[in-house]
Amino acid sequence: MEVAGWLDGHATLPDLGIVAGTLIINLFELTFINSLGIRDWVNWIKTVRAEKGITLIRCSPPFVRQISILQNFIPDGVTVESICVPYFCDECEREEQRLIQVGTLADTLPDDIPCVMCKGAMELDVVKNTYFKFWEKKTG
Amino acid sequence: MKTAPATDEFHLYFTHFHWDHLIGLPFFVPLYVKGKTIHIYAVQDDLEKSLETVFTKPNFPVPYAMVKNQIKLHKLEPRKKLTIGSLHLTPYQLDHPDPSWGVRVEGDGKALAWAMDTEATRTSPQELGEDANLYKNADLMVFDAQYSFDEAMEKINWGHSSAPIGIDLAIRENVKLALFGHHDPSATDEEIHRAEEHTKNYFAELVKSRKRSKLPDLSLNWRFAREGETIQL
Repeated sequence: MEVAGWLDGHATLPDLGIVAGTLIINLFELTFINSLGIRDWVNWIKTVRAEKGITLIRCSPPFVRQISILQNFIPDGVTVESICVPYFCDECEREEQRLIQVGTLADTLPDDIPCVMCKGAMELDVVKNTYFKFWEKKTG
Repeated sequence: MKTAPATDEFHLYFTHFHWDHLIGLPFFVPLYVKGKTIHIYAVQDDLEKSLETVFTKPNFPVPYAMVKNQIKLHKLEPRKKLTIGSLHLTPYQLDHPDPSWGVRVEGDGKALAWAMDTEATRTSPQELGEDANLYKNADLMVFDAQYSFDEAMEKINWGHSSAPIGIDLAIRENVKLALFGHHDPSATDEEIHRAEEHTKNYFAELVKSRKRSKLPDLSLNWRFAREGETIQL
């Protein structure tokens, strides 16, 4: 399934019953989440029963940032497979995301990458020691 | 009160009657001073019974009967406005056991939303219904932040909330200043400071994410309340 758009306390997350196999949740299009949305999300995910567990893929930067700041954990039975890491070009005011798999060390990520538009530098738009915190806690 | 105000009339609003709200009442000196009247306001039906409870031996030596004549009880109707002098009070229900009734106080074109002792389990306009009026366009919202956000996620039905929840509620309801209090009595100063730092990081990220989404800047001011603080509206 895909969770897209805003999670700000207004969205209704579906009752999935018991899911056969692994439930894969794609969070790439989740563009905004606040504390009300996180509370709904955590309460919802605790109710989901998937026979082979839940896997989060392509976790968007808004999701990763706020989960890292506020919650700092992913519930038991939930695995993170991949997250998106944003780079920002000040010149073009443009964001680009790199998808990285769990296991990639934060230190190995480049601090900047070339901007395809202006050929300048797109800077890593996260604070490494907070952005990767929730997943390190989960996997480490 | 460290100094006695020069008045014969006192007005006390009780949100609910849990001990931490009631225990100070027997030590409220004007109760024992001739000529003083203490007006006590609450929504709960059992207001007088709740007051009697604290004036009971062996917990307190003065019986309720001795102070009863100094007290004037006022039962408020839920969500109905009551005027006291130049102030207008409207009680709205909070999310707390037994339950607790927050109050909106309006006067001189300013509004205070008192929302202590709430878990804020209802936050959407649909869930809150009329109770959303407690917060709308308030100049000051005093909100329950007993726990850090992750503690609040664990303490379901404990009746208290956290500052990030208050921030999001305040933003949506166009509150000008949010003040966070009712800090956990069992928390150390360091733990409260850490919850405040988390809230700062959370708010900073909200500001950034709104900027990224090209949404208007946030006008909300907020801070953690401190003992002895005075707020001028």
